[in-house]
Amino acid sequence: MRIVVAEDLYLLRDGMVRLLEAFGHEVVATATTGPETLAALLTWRPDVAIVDVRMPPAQSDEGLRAALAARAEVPGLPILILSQHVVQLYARELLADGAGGIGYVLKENVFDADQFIDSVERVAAGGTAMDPAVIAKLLSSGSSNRRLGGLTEREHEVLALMAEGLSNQAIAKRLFLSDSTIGKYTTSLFGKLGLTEDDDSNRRVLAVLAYLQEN
Amino acid sequence: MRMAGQVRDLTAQRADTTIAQAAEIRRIERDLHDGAQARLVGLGLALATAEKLMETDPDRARALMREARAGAATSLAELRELVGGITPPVLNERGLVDAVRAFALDGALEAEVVADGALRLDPPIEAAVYFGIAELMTNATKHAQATRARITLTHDGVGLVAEVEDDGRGGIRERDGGGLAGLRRRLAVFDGDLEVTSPVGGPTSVRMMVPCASL
Repeated sequence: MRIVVAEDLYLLRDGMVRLLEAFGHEVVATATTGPETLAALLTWRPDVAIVDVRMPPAQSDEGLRAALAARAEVPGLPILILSQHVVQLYARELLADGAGGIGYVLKENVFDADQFIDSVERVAAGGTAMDPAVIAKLLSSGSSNRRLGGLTEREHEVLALMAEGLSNQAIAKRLFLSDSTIGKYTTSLFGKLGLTEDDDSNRRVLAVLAYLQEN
Repeated sequence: MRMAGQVRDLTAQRADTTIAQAAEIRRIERDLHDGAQARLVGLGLALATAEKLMETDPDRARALMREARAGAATSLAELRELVGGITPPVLNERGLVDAVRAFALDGALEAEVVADGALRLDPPIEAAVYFGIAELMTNATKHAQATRARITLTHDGVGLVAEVEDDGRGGIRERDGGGLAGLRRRLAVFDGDLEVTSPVGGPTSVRMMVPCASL
């Protein structure tokens, strides 16, 4: 895959490039400021970009803004946002266009290289990779809490993993259950939430995330 | 005479603030000392041992490296919590309005935020008002048993007016040494003021007013 890495801290940028190359991916460009990131995204139109939130010049949310601006120009341009902290507000902004190809995870996710690369590839394929911490917040906010009250503990757990962007097979593996068991849980929880089940797992995730974001 | 009284008041307020800040800094030092610093020592030890055992006992070396990785992830989580307590990251990245929006999304209350999006103030004032709103929202949930809240942020030409209204049971009284009195003192440092309307049975409305320019 052709990847752009936008990260202002040298150690992190260098480590990330080495990790991606070790997994056989090509880093076509790196960026260290917000404007550079936007330019790199639009020039290279990579298969996926890995972008830090906070970057120079102002050390505010330049990276996030560059990512949103690039996706406004190139709908669905796959972007994985890496950050020291995750907030629902940013997750909602990233997911708002409903186009998929979005990831938003904590930086320590890179510690588990296999899982991290899996997230990168999932986002590149138009899927989503949301940090469990973001999903936990989406699931526990005032309005979700009430609407999800009818779910069993297991259904809740399956919903959370689905919202992170995992497929049925991946959820089954994570929970040590069979694919067909997970299928039963998803059918039942979709029924309870009044959502139509979709065979396409990306569309399904987007439906779940859109549902959780409604107020 | 009146002026002497004001000077006494101000001196008392400054002293209060200094004591509170010193206590806060001590808490941060202790958290870093017992948390992240201790973990980094442990991490270094584990890595040194793993290096030593790499050839003679590769299994044990691998286990130690896994342990080190987990330790690094835990340190990051602790540091994130600590940093969040000093200033919420969104406050740095986006300013008061979005920080309050982010806070409202994460809370248990169903909260509506009405704000002038372009509002930017001096960082110390933004921080004081942010933590004030956070405290009022916590009170609304914990003490007033509110289910809904509305936060309004405006600039009336003289200064910032931040209002938190909730549908809780009301009857809130300001007591010496209580939370509201503390909030009043913290606002007084910026010549700000607090106005509480809370009839028994609710609703409660608390207004914070801080004279300042909008940046």
